[in-house]
Amino acid sequence: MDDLLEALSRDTAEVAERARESLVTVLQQGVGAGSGVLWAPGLVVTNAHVARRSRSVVTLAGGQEATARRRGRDFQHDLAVLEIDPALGSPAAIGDSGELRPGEWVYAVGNPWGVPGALTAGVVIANGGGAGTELLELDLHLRPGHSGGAVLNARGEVVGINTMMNGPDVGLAIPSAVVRRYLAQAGLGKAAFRRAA
Amino acid sequence: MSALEHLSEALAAAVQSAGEGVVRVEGRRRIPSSGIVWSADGLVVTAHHTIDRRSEVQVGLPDGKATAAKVLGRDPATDLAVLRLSTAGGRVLKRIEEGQAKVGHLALALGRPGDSIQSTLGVVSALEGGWRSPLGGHIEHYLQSDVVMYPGFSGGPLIDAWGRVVGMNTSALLRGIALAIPVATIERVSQALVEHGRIRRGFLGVGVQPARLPQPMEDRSGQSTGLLVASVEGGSPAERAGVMLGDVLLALGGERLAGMEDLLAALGGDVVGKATPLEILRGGTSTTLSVTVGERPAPSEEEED
Repeated sequence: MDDLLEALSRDTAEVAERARESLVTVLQQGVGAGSGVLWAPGLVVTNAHVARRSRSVVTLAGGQEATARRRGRDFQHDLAVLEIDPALGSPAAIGDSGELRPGEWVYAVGNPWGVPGALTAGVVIANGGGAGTELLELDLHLRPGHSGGAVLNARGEVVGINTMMNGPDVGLAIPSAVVRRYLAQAGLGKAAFRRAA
Repeated sequence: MSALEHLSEALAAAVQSAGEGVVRVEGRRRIPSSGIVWSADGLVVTAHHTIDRRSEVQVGLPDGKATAAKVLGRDPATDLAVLRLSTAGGRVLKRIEEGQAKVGHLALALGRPGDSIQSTLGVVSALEGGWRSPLGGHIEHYLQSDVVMYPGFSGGPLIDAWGRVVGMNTSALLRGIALAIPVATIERVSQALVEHGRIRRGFLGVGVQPARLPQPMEDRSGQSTGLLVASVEGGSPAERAGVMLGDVLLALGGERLAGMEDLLAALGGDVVGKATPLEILRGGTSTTLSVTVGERPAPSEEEED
């Protein structure tokens, strides 16, 4: 039993570590800090409500800074795509949000209240179909600064992008399938679909 | 597979499996609530406060079919209601037995406000002895968890890691606390509701407050407080028995009345309609009246959640 708890803690720490490798901070003049995910080489996915300006400064894992140019934005899905130097950072492993079931363990990473890489855990409440929405409904708390950060499954794969809270206790995230669809429609697709091993 | 992946898979499997015993209950406007399939012949238990005054509701079964259900009975004091499906469906889940639940156990709250099963996760936070709800209902255990009660989760089950029903979640009995009605209470109350359609509770028609007894009286009766009568309802059982303002109630049916709890406990359904001895203190001496206990009228519908 103690072994099990230790194993769970260790696995969680590993997921946190991996999640932080592809997590970025998105800083914009006069807007404040949000989060983003290095989705593919040179391609950062964040929220439309985070990427309000066309240019921003992105801080990668390890503290390296890069200037980013906004390549696309979709307010309907609260998504935005930023472009950085493709040589920088290590992209996330992207999972399939369609496989998520209620009760599955998930994590959210971001920079809540400006705390870089903070991790929070919960379970999937519903995967779409809840209130006529295709958003992921999660039993975890998202805070200012979480926006644009990643939701990960127990394998440490990115299955969603944090967007907002629904009421005091329910976090909402954009499923990775919706992000993929958007990237394809926006002509930013192909390169982004490289699934990490 | 890592331990974490195992856990995640096991949780999802538990939700999927137990979800076969959870139905959608359309008993009010706005958001539907949830219910637990309680017997193979079509009994469903749900939260009383999520059903308005209607006597028939629509129920969404786990397989996606819908069926009508009759409201067999309801008990506001324990927030329980029992439905009878016109077409039985869903699976009867295993139930936890006395002593199996422990503080710290993982607990999943399940709900089906829409077509598909939904879930939140927490732990059993508190498990205590019997208590009495604000409306006077006896509940076998104080069972609290830290699950998030998502809209429409009331009436759904709290299940443990073995997929057993630990209780029925309700957000209405104590506001702001994820409280569950334990299996023992559901079993007792649902049986009474199926048989009688309601839980009978005794009624005297007095407003009382605890009051300290004079020393000689305390020495004689062995109790330090009684219940001072501050009001008597016109035409009530108490008035007909001759109870007057300023009397101090000492015992009902031989049960000592030292506090409000004692009075609620003494006014169980079994004393309704029976001539019961009521010991009082009046003018410094104790007397015994005979009161024919009435039945407490159903409280008016005021909740909405």
